[in-house]
Amino acid sequence: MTETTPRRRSRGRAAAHRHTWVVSTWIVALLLAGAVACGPSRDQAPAASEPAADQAPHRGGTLVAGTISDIDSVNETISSGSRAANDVIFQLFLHLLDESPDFTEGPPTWGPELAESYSWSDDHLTLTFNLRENAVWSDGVPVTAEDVRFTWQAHVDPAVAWGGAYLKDTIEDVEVVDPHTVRFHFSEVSPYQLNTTVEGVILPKHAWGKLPFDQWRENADFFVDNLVVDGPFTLDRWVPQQEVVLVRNERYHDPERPYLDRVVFRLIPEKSNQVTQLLSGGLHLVEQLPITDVERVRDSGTTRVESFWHRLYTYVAWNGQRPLFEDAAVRRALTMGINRQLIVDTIWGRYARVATSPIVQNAWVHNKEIKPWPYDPERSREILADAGWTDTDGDGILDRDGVPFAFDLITNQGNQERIDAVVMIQEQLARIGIEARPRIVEFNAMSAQLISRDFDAVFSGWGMPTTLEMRYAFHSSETGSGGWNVSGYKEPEVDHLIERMESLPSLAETEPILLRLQEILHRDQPMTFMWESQRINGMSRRVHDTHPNVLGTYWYLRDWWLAPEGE
Amino acid sequence: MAEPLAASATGPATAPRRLRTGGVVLVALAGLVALAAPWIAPYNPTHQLDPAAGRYRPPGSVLALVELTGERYLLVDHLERTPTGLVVSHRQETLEIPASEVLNLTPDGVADRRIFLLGTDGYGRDILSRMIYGARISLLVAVLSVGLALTAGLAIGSAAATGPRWLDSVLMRGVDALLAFPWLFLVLTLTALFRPSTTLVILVLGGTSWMGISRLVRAEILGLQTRQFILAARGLGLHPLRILWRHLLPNALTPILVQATLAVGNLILAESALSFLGLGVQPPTASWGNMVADGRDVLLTAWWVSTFPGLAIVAAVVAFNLLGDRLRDLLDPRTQEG
Amino acid sequence: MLGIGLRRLGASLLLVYLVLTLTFFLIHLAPGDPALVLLSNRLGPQSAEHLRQAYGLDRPLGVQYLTWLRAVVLHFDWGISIAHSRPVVGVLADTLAPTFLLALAAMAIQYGVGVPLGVAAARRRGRAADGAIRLTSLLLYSMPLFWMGLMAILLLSYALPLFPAGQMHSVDADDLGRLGRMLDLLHHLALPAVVLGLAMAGATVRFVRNQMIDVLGQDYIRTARAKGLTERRVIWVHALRNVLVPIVQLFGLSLPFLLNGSLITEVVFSWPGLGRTTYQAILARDYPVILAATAFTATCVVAGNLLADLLHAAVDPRVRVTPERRPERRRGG
Repeated sequence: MTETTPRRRSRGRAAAHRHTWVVSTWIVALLLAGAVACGPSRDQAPAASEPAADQAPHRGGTLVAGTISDIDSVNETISSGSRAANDVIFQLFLHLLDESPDFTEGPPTWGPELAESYSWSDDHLTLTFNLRENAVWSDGVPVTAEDVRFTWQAHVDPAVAWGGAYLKDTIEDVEVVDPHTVRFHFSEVSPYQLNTTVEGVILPKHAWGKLPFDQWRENADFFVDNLVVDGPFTLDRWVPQQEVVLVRNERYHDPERPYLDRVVFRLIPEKSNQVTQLLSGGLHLVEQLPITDVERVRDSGTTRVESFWHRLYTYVAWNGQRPLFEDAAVRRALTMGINRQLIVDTIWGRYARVATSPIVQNAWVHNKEIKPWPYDPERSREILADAGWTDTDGDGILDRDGVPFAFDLITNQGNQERIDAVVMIQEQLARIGIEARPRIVEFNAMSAQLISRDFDAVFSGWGMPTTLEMRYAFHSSETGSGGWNVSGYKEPEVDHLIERMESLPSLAETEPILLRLQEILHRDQPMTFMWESQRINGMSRRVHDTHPNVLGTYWYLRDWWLAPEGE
Repeated sequence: MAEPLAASATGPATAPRRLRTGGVVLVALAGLVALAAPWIAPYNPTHQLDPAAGRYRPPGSVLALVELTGERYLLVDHLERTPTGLVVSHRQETLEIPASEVLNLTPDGVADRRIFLLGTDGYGRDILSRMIYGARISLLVAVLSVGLALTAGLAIGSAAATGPRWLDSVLMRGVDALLAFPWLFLVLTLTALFRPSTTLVILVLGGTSWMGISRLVRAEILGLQTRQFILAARGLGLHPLRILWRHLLPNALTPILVQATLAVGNLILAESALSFLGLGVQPPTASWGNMVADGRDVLLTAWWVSTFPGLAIVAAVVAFNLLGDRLRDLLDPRTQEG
Repeated sequence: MLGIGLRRLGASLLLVYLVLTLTFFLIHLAPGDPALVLLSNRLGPQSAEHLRQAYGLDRPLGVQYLTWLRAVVLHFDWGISIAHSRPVVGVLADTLAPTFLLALAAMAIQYGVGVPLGVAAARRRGRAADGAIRLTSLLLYSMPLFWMGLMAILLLSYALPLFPAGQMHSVDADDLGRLGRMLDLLHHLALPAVVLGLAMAGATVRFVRNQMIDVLGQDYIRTARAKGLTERRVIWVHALRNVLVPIVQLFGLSLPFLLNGSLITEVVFSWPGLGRTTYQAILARDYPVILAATAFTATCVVAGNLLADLLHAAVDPRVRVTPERRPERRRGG
């Protein structure tokens, strides 16, 4: 058992400074490495946290990773879209293009995957892909444009009810020109056209087209029984609620890769359990280490920690359609009544920073001019008093016209950092006379509440997409039931800006609009932005070439290799 | 965990006699602690003063609390008073603080030295204080739930025993159906479907524990129906409700009281299980159950967070079980230790 | 005797039906639209409507109930799990073996520890050993199960790395031989089974002790002793025989406790059984799974009670002779 206090006392100042220095060097190195990389090549990687890359990859071996939730299907269109499901699905199937995680520089660039090249028509309404000729499904059938068209049909079919169907709204038709040429026809120009076409893995028509779409939702087993893949791995075994085993796909179009023979995802819902297994050698990888375990994993001789800034930010969304949160001034007061830096320090230490905007700081278009609202409970009280909130009955809670400033603050189970933050927010707001009641709710149940706008305030997170789309969270058309503008935010200037942005032909041109949008959101605080956190993964030192990136831990799994034991 | 108010299948009292008296003392102590919590607890159970520095401190940690202007607090491991102010060691950093910023400065240091006898939790809150306040919640919930169950059980049991036969049949069938649910499944389903809160816990626990009582009441009353004094009362033409209220119930009460006391212990266990599973008392209110849950993820590095609240539960439940045994000795001649 | 058996069976079936109906309406009358749980992934209104229809959620509650009942009774079709997108029967079938294993092991420990200790306490009644045993049983009886589990993990898995802290298999269990896999399973089973078993043993010790005391005071025991039989024979053959029936009854009646306890144990030890799956289903509002799991467990409880009743009737002549008057039964568990 680690006895923490005596050790801290004996470390002293010098050690503390050394600590800071080491971590800062790593962060700087990471950022530098990230900045140096450019172009669509896959080999760019922040190398600072990895062992020397001069060793040749070793073939073979089984990688065992821990996961906290099971996959629910191998078919992306009927899956819930959880990270666990996508981690596996993206190893079995391929996208048209491979996105490079270079959005710190500028709009993301694309490399070849199923498609080798693409070209636009002059009016930018037609996009033609040339597919590679050597891609085959694991049963030998070639991957063709028919699969691409079939996939699009599945994506937009109402019976299949894919959660990402809305992304395909602007695609009018997908045309098979010849077996290796496929053409997308759009109804309008937007900066997201390319993303729209690439979103969603390509499905096997010859295997899955046998089942009519309206039976897809009830027959998850059919897709496992008739599974053919074109990705680096295929499914060897899926034991529900226990593990998923992937095995090397010999028919993958790149004969060199993957290097690993097998990948096992073991379902272990308790992170502490996973960490114990990692330290004892039972697991090679644990995603998102609990902060309290980082030191142990870093100091052990057999494991190491990879941490890097990600594209996730968390926020407290205030339901602007409820009288409590209608007023932007009140929302600003709430933000100033929450000591965000203290929350970050307590929960994350150096592994997170306060967020000021929905566009994270290491993105190419983050508005650096914006300074976060300070923690100022005095000022908070003043603003609230100006808005009519005073404690007339002496119970410690502000009230106005007989209504107390009290509400439920919900967050989902399973995420200890968010639960901790909610408990801290409750205590801080109590000091300025606001009663925030923490409610920990199961994830699906919370989503149901959000969709029906049946909530007061919610603490949640958002993995910002690299397209930096703003419509879904902030446009007034999304405030109705079913949209993701859960705050009910309606600001005409924001609407205009978003609409203008959506008619531009490329992401690069959206920069000035995105900068202005951030200013307005900062002013209006439809949500209080909380933190941006690093992804902190613990892994065995035998794992090499993981290329940590913001798209996903397992994005480059085909490049990973395991050093033989004893090395 | 047994359905709390099932009539005991365990027969006569089984704890050693001396201990049973101890039970009375323990329960009284628990009640006192719960009532006097604000005066006994060393620190506030919900204030988070410098959570970053104070979190997960082991039992016996001693820290000084420096109160600064602007509503800021620092929990420091060492401090030195200098002519200009303070030099403190805070979270592995050394800070110099001018005297003008410190609100609780004294000639020797600061006025607030904190001893965390049982350690701190993830927000730097004192475990001992939270346990003391937790006693309030646990006892309150258990007692109120039992009260609810008693009321419902008495009403329904009496109705079944003294009413028409069809009513008896219907009610007892209903009771059987409810008893056929594994109790925890029923409780979890109910609390998960509605928004969890302390009030809901009381309603659900009380609403699922009355069945055993009602059976007991019914059995007792049926047994009494044939006794001389009841037959006499009937013969006199007294109103049935009056007979029920003044003659039947008082005589049936004794075994019921014993069961109710034992039930308090069981309901303390039940509430703590619910809170542990996240469906009982909600944070930041301290309940022994949710305190144990808080420590689950840090069991390896901060074992005290889960351990001490659990000990409190054991102590409280033992106390009520002993008390129940003692009451049984005193009040129920049929079950005297031979 | 047969008459009683049939009547009891009929009553039991009626009970199970009542339980099912209660659960169905309970779940569907809770606030919140169950359809919304399915919409957790940003579906457009068209898809939402289609899903609603697919799950039959757009029809009136009474119709939904009858449809569901019909499917269950005629086809044993419990529907599709919302969270797992697989038939409920499949989801739950996977969980039965682990729970059964855990329950069996726990009961073995419960009786293996409870009966001998109860007998020992009865024999040494009033003496120090009796007091010590009763105190131990009181402590076990008063401990919260989830805390016991956590302390067991802390002491026997973290402090002394003797046992795994959860799950059913090791990560590399497949690479072991058959024997190795079995040993691995036992290794993982040890802590949860001991924790659950000891928790239940607390009540068992009390029960056995009291029954034993009653029996030991009977005439035939005195006769057996007078005849010169060894004490061991007296206790273990003659006395215990008469205690066995109540013990088996106790087993039937302690099924609810076992089910409740296994839920908590499975959650604490991440044991992939019925209890844990049900708990997750309850949190996720996976109604089909909740209904099926409740039905199953209620059936177990009712079956357990039925068994206890039948045994009671078989043993106690009063019950057979006077079937009209319901004897006062003391239920527990």
